[in-house]
Amino acid sequence: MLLSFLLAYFGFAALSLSKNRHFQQVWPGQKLLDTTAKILPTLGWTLLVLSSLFIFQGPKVSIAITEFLGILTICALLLILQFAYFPQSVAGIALINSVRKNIASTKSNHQKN
Amino acid sequence: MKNGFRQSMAWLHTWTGLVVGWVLFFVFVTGNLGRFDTEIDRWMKPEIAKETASLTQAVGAAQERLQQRAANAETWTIWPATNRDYPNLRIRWETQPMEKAKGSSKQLDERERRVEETLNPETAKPVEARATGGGQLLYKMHYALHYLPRNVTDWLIGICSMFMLVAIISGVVTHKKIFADFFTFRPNKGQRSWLDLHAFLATITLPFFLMITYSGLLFFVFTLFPYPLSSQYGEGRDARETFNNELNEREFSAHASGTQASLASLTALAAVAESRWGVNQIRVIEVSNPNDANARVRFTHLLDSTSRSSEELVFDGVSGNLLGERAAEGSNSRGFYDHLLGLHRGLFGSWVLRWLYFLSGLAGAIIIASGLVLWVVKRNPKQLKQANGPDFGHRLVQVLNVGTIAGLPVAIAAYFLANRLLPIGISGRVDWEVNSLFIVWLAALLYPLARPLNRAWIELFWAAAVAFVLIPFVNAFTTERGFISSVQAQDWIFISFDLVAITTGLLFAYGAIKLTRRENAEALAKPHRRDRKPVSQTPDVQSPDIEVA
Repeated sequence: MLLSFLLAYFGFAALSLSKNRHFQQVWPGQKLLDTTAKILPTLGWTLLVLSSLFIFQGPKVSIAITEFLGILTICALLLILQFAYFPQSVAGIALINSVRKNIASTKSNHQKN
Repeated sequence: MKNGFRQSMAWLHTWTGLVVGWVLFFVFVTGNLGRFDTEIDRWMKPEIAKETASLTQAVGAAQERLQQRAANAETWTIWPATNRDYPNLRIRWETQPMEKAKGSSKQLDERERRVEETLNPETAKPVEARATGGGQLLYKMHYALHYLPRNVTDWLIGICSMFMLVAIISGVVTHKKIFADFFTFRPNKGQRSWLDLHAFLATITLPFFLMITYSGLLFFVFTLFPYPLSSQYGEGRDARETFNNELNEREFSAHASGTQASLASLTALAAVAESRWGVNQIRVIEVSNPNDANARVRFTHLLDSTSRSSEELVFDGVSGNLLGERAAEGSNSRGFYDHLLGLHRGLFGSWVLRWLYFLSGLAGAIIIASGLVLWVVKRNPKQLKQANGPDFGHRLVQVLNVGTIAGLPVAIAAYFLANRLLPIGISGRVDWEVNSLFIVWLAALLYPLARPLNRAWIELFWAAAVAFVLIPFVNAFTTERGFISSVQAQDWIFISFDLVAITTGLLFAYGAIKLTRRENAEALAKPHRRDRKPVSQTPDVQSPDIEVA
């Protein structure tokens, strides 16, 4: 359940950061690149699917669906509150940070070219 | 009505939500507390400790007690202590509406007909505990309200739920940017923030919200749509009973024969059930027509899926022969019904899921509250400009908002405090606990009439903060189970109750402080505004722009 929670959380984080508005809340002044805007949703949805796979390993499908919806609600709530009050904390997550580094490097490459 | 589909839906959403909003807020708050009904029960009966007796001992004690007290009852019900839902051995007996014993037949009322006891499995005597409505009464209020007969409340709550369902669906249609605004909340921006709060909470809890409302309505389906039932079964209590028996597929039930026969040992039958299901898997044992030749003993398995029904074993109560068993799943339509009702109750889940349910329900209460506040905030600019103040309707909504959103939490804290402070032996103690809840709520509803609106919000928030923070202290002074001894005993229910009460209190205090700051900021800004528009504002009616705790 914890694993599924973490996957769903990162999945939602990736999905939200693929939107310019939220991306700039976390990294003001930086622009979301087209490639990243395309990769992030795919990453997000994949993580969500993975999250659901883990929770559906339980014995009862009906209980798994209930738990999964509850997990999604809480993950979304956490992110919304983070964006509203502590946007920098979304950036503190290692996984997303690595994505950021990629963006930064592609950006600098972009500028060099 | 406005032109255009979305505008019409927005209109529908506004008005269906407003009209029943306060009742729904009450339903959501009390129903949500019902997620922890057993825990609240245990807190409200501090005399009762968690028991550890074996099933054999428990069932034996229950049979002994029932035989002593209710040998001629119509039914006996025994709940052995098993899991979270059943922390203690509990028994109930029900007699027929007409008591035929002792020659004189007299009509019995509900309380006389149905007696329930928590038993000590070692002595087979009832456990002495204070009289209290407990968490069950609080939970029951969310569908049966209080002071009103069930046939009235079924309709009231049924209609309110229907409005709720309409409000949810029209709300989804009205919300333009569900995906674009999925993660969006812009705090401290007045009306914008209220709308954001209302919308994002409703979006992320939509599956829960739809499920809880729709399944809630299904509980009343045979009240709200009685005609299909009465066309097949006829009218009246007997028709209902026949229908219920068929619905629950109680095919092995039998009427009393009138011939006496001694009841088989329930302990032995319980052992048969345990050998099939494993240890501690019996949810309930029901004995119909005890001490009659047609006695039946029915064992039901603990819930293990989202359905509210589970496997059953039925024994002949005299010979002890197994008459038959019923699988958890029946027909498809019954399965659909049972699963939805089971989902509504959420008894199948672990404690993690229980908290997820609770948080979703809390979000539900905040959605309703923010919707009600939004109605006022949106109309305030126009209403406050009117020469002779806001309209009566506007003022009414404002007052009901303060009295319910800030007042109900104070009233609930009063219910808990009454449990600890009312003298133990007082007659009608259960009633007075509930009365204190409603008296405090009524006072909170009247309070904003006497005070400026903004002050009423702040002061009621402070009242809630103080009342909730007081709970752990009052508990420590009036019982043996204060915070320190609970920690030493690792008694998680009492520890959590204290912590949740303190947290709730602090959140209300935070809300009150935030509102006071806003009031001060507005007071500073006001002289400038007055220079420009001399008759724009009445000082005592301001937007109740609060942080919902």
